[in-house]
Amino acid sequence: MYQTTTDTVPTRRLPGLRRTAALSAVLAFGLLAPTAAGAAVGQPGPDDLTSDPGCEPDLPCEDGPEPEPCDPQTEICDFTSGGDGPDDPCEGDDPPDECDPGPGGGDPDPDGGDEVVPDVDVPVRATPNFTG
Amino acid sequence: MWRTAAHSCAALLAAVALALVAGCGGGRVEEIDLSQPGTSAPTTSPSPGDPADQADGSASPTGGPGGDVAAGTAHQVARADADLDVYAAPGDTAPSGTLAATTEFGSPRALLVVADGGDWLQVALPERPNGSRGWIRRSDVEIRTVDESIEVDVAARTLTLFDGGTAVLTTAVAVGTDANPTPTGAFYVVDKLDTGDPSGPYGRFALGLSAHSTELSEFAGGDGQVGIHGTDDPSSIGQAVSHGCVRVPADVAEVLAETVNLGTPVLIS
Repeated sequence: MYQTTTDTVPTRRLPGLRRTAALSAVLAFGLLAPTAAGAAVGQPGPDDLTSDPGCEPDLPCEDGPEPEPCDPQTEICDFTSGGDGPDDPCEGDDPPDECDPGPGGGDPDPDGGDEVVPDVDVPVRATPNFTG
Repeated sequence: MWRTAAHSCAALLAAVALALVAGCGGGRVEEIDLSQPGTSAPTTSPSPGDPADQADGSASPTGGPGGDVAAGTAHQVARADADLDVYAAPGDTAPSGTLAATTEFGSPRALLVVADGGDWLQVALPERPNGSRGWIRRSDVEIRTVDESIEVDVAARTLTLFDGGTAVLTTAVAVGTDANPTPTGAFYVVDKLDTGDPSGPYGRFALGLSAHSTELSEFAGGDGQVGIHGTDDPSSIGQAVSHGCVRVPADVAEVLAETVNLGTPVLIS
C-alpha cells in the first residue's frame, strides 16, 4: 500500500507498487489540492499531504541531494562556541589555552633521589687551621 | 671524627684479615694501581704492616702509605652522606671506628679507595698516622671517580696538576722547613675551603689534605692537618718556610678550587 507521510524525509516508493488510475486520482487530488484548498482554508495542518513541497503530482518524492560536506579548508569555523564532537569536519583545532599553569606543580622529585651532582665540589666557607 | 682508640692497629689487623681472605680465596682483592705514569716512581716506601703487602701475589702493593697517585686513570672516591663505620678487616661485624659524615670544616666525607674487595673497599683514612687505612662496606657509600691528581715535589718546590694524566699546571710553591717538613707520601684532598679572606694567611682558597705534620701534633687549634693554600706572603713562594703546608700563588689556589674534587689524590715526594 502506498503510504504518505508528513515527515520531511522524502518517501520512497514501495517496491512492486503499480500505479493505477484510482491511485493516480487520489494522488492528483491530494497533490493538486493544495493550491485551491490551501487558499480556501488557510494553512495546512500537520497531516496535510500538501505540506510536502517539491513533489510533482505524478512523481514520487525523490531523495534530495546529498548535503555537501562543508569544507574545513574554507569554512569559517566558529571557535567561540567551543569544541564540538571530534568528528565534526568543520571543527578546527581549539585555540591554544593561554598560559594555563595546570592544576598545580608539586615537587618533581618527592623522594629526593637522582640528586644532580655538580661537576666540581663547591668549597665550604670556613677558616682553616692547617699548618700554614 | 675518628672515634676509636684502637685505630692505630687497624693497618695490622687489616693486613692479617686481607691475608686470610686472599689465602682462603674467599674474595679477591683488586689492588688499585695508583702509580704515577709519566713521572718518576714514588719515593715513598710501603708502611710496615701495610695490608697491601699481604695481598695475594697478583695484587701489587701501592707503595705509599696512602697509595700512590695515578695520573691518567680515574680514581675511585667513596662518598658518605652519613656517619660511616670503618672496619679493621673486610667481613668484620664490629666497626673499629666511625667517621663523621662531614669533616670538622663541614666538607662532605670523601675517602680515596685504595683497594677494591667487592662488597668491601679499602680506603685511606685521613687520620694519624699518615697512611692509615681501613675497610668500609661498599653499600654504605656512593662511588665517584676523579680524573685529576696533584703532585708536589718538595725538593724542587713545585706543584703540578694533572688532568687524566696530562699536566695542566705547574707552579712554584713554598714547602715546610727542615724543622717542620712537608710530609711525603700519597694523600688526597679531604677539604675544599673558601676562607672568604684573600688577604688572610691562607689566601682565599685552601685544600685540606689527609696528611698530618710529622712534627706538630697541634697547630692553631687544629691537629696539624697539612693543606695546600694561598698565602698573604707571595714572596715566600719557592722557599722552604712553612710549617708543613704547601703554599701556592693565589691564582693557582683559585684554579685548584675550581678544578679538583674531594678525594683527588695528592702525591708528595
